[in-house]
Amino acid sequence: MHEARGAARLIDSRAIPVLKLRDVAKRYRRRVVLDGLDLALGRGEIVGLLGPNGSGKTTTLRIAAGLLWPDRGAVEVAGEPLTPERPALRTRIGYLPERVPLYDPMTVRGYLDFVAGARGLASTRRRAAVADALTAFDLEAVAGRVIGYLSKGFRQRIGLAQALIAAPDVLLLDEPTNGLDPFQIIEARAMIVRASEGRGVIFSTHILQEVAALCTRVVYLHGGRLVTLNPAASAARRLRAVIVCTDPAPVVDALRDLDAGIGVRVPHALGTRRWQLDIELAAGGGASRAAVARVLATTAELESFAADAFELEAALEQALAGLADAAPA
Amino acid sequence: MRAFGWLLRRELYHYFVTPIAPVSIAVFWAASGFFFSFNALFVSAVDMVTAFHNMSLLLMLMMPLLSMRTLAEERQADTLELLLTLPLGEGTIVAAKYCALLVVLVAMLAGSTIVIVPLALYSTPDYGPIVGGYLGVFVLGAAFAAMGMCASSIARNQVVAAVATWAALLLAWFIDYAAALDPLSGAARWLQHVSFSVQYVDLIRGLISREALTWFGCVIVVMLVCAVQLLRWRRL
Repeated sequence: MHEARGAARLIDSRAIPVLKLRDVAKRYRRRVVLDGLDLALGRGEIVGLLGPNGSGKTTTLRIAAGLLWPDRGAVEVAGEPLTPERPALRTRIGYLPERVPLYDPMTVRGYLDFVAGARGLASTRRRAAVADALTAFDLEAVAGRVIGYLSKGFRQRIGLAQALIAAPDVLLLDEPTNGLDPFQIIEARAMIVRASEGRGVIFSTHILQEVAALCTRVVYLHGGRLVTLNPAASAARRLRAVIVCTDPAPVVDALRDLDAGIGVRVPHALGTRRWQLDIELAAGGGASRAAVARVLATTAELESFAADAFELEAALEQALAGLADAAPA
Repeated sequence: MRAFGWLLRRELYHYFVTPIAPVSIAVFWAASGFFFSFNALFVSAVDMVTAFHNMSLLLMLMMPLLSMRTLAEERQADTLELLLTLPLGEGTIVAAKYCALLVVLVAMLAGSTIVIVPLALYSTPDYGPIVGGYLGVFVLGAAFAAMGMCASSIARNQVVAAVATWAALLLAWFIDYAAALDPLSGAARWLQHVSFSVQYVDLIRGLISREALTWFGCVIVVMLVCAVQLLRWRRL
């Protein structure tokens, strides 16, 4: 009886979106940026937030992070309202702004220690969280170095590490690959995939390939509201990954265990330990791209992960054409 | 409370790992020591009232430079976004930053106590007024710091914050000069009551003036509340 009740509670808590924005409106002086925006984010979901410059992507993320308060509407984190009176709820949100907020004179370890402490982690948990973050984001070699002297790639990793240090339920990333070189972009994508496990992720970007590769859902900001792109059309099914491992066979098996409908071509050797995998997702449902990426990241070292963005481009064009038709003459 | 401790620790780290606090403290010690020695050797005025007066003027120059970075620098470096998304209230942020400023102020004043040594060697000073005088200079410095923090919460640029603080301090210092226009009026009495240069006289003499302490206490509270409120408005 107790077990059944416990299981029911578990199902209920999983059914509640980790983040919900309800009828959110925001204006800067006379300019309306958001007007009745609704968005629900589930656990394990990666939502790509698209939109032209100035469309309100950053404002949406800032409101979701509790950095700005909406003029109207509400934000809920795991069913609890995010209000000024409840700053503790912000512990459940990890936020990486477009310009990574780093204290240049601090060391990497000192900075992560500060963020973990300020997020309320007690000493043992804090030390463990800092050690985990340094390992997960490959920062151990620079842990004692001053942040101000590190490259942009390292700074971005530190930013991601600080956003995830308190194991938040929601991760908000504002153009996380902006200004990175191609190798750093590949690295950042792999990190986002790893970070998405067990939490909801929203990230804004201009790069369609990135959205196609990483997201389980794509939304487009138009006139202060969100337009969800046709999920079937926006789901790029052809994926290409480069993994590093001695034998790719267990990775392929793990993908087939995830979803029997997944098609994987014979791995193509790119070197002694590097393999290219061409993957085709099952049509009409099955495993998502994020799930595939997570399997790749956990069973091997994921070097790159990309998807065909043509279908997404077509969906975006279709959605924009629909919006133009619907607009009053 | 734990978050306050972490923020205070980070602020102190920033002050003492970068040259900000060491240079400011060294300059304050050197300048206050120089003025005391100059008065002793060339003016034959060996008293703490003059020393406290000089310290007050030095603080008026230096506190805006120390306080200008508190919030304006965070905004310039985009780290304010980090602070405002941490599970902290705006009051905690302002309180931690203000306490760090007070620690630097205490370090400045502590080093300047070296001037008491020659007084103790060559005379028998009354330590009561000296302790009272230091308390007075501390309260004055704390008021300057609170005004600087308030300016720093408005300005995006640190230089603008420092200049605005100097302007406000000069106004608060010399505001009683306007009383000379009509010395017997109610307005003149009010101007003398709010003037820093009038209120601090008793404090540097080592007298624990309730009126002066209340006035500077009010200035500190109002300025810090304004800084908190301005931070809250940034979220709107």
